[in-house]
Amino acid sequence: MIYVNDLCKQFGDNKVLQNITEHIKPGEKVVVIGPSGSGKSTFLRCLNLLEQPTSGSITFDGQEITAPRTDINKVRQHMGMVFQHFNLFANLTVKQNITLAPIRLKLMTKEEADAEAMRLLNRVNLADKADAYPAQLSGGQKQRIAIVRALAMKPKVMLFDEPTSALDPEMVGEVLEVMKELAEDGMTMVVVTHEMGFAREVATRVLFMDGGGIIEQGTPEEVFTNPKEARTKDFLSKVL
Amino acid sequence: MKKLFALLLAMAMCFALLTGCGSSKETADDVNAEPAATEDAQEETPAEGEDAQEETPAEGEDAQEETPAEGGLTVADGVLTMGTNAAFPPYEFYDGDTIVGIDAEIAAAIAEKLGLELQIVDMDFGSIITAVQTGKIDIGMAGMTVTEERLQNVNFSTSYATGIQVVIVTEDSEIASVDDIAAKVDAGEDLLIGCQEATTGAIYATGDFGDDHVITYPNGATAVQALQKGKVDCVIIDNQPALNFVAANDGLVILDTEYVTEDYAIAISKDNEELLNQINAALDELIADGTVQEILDKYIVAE
Amino acid sequence: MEKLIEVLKLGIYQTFILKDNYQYFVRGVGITLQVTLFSLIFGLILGVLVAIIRSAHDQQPENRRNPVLGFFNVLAKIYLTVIRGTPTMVQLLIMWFVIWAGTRSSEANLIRCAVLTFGINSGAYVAEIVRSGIMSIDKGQMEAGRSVGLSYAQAMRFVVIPQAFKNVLPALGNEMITLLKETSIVTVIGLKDLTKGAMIIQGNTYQALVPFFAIAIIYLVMVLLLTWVMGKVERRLRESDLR
Repeated sequence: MIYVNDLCKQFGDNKVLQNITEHIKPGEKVVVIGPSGSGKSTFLRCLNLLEQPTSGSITFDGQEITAPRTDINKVRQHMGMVFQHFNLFANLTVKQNITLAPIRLKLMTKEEADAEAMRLLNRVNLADKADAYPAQLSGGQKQRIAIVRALAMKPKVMLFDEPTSALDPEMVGEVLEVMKELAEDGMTMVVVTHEMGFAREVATRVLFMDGGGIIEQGTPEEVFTNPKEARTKDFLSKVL
Repeated sequence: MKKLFALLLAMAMCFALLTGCGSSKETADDVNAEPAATEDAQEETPAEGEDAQEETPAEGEDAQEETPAEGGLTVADGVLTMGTNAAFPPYEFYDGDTIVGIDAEIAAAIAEKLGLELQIVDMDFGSIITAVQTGKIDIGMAGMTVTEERLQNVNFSTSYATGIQVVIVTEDSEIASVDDIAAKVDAGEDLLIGCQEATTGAIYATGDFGDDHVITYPNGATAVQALQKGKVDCVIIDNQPALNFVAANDGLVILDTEYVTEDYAIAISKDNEELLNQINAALDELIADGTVQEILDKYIVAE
Repeated sequence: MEKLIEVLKLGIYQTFILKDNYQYFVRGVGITLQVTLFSLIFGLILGVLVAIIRSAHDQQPENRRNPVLGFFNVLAKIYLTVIRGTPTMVQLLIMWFVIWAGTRSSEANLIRCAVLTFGINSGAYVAEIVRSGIMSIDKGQMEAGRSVGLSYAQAMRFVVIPQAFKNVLPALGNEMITLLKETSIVTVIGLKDLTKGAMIIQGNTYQALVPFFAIAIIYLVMVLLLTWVMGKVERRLRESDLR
């Protein structure tokens, strides 16, 4: 589904990603782990071109999205993204947050979008917050709504950029619960996270990144119980 | 809200009263205290004058108690301060950085007669009267015309010169006489007359032809420029500056028919009858001995 | 004291009642409000446009600068420098006597010229106010907008600008007040606004204090009304901040 070929990203002289080649297949739940500064968030943000790769190519759904003439807005409609800091539109109500893009991009009528929003809100048990503003919600509620906002676009893949890192500990569970349900429904997911429990339970594949490259990958058992690389062992010994 | 407004209104009115009437006397003190400032009075800007004005209400009451009501003839001992707008040749204009002209010379002659030293202050035409009323200056001399309404707010001396309001048009203009203006206005034509703000030309034109036909500018030069750029159809202005403007700009002519004739006089505060009398006395002598006519002849060259 | 009252009576009589002079104030307020209102609208549109060009240019990634945007950015910068670096009165005189040379001094033309000048002038200040507002919005808002497939323009319009606008409302209110008062310089091109009304009465009667205090109060009341309206708008827009 997503082919990443020889991807490099530099900020000035700082090489953040070096020659990453990777293939994410439909239905996979790929969890990316690694120490901070390892480039995992940048890697994720390159996938929907929130970061412009310095070189290399990315092909999504048979289309090379790094090609100059690509309509990136169209591509992003099919790639949901959830951010560490939620990034709910502060000026809009919960329902408007969810329906803004479907309506403005003429994918749904207002009625359809509202109905879809309510359906999704019910799914995450937040239907009563439909008319609240983001500032009135807890972190866990915000993140669940951010997930719903991405889902409302009916994406083919969901990208999660440390979705629980900014949450108070007691709210992490409710967000991970929604992500698990999503995984069970068969959504293709790429998740950057520090939640090793989640990685173990949900991932079909774990990527360990360090120093801008993928050091090691495999099933959760392979990576967590039987890491081969010294750096992986070192990292896991610190977080587990 | 209503109460607040009423309060503000009351405050504003009090302030107006203090500045309007109290100040002609106490500023005598003010000016005496800083004679150095008046030395370069000619270069003093109106802005500076306003600064001083703000101080007066506070000091006003003290000064009134200390000095007798009729403190003196002039605001500063031995100095006659004249306010003018030095963009009105040949009555007043700059020669280098001194203000010269008919008004300046007549004022100098009067000052000499009264044994006073003359100081000339250049300011906006509109500010001259306020300055006279608030005692910033002793006299206003700027080709000022006496009218009934104005007489209620300020005293005027005997007239020392006759002003003629004339009409300037472009050479290719359809307007050949003052009557043409009236005819065009009566016919409902879109005719525009340029004037200098606050001059009698503007007042008479507004009275005769209506407010909609009169556009006023901060000075005569701007009005003439508006005429040249086709923004207005004619300019009504004093004959003497008109001659200068026409001489300086190609393509302009003055209509033969005069618009109005009027008398120029010196403006003096209503609070200073004594100065009015002395100036009238001096002026009468100067007119009688031909000095005034001499000055007029010097600047106004017969055509 | 009696004398003061006499003077005040005469002043009020000559300023308002004599020859229906109050008409100068009534019509002057109308002109002042017209010029202010249309200049505001024009300035706001122009300012927001320039602010978007400037911030869109500044927010581009280093290696992918759009040359067309670069060109407009340079134009915008020149515009801001020239307009903010020269006095409004000079701009007005140039607009009326040089650029619009040959245009008749009809009231409609004078108003149009004033609106154009003040609109262009105010636009420069609004642009910098709005740009600071846009820059103050967390870039996550733009990213989130882009991530659901909105274009840059759509994300700007539906997400960033509304928030930026709310943040800069007090500064915009200030600019409106400044503009309302600054329109008084239209007297130099002969437009009969509120200030000109007082000048005409002063010229006619040599009565200065009452006409000028009268317009000072009228300006103050207009500013108070404007402040009140802005307060209302601000409170409405603050709804999304409620907790």
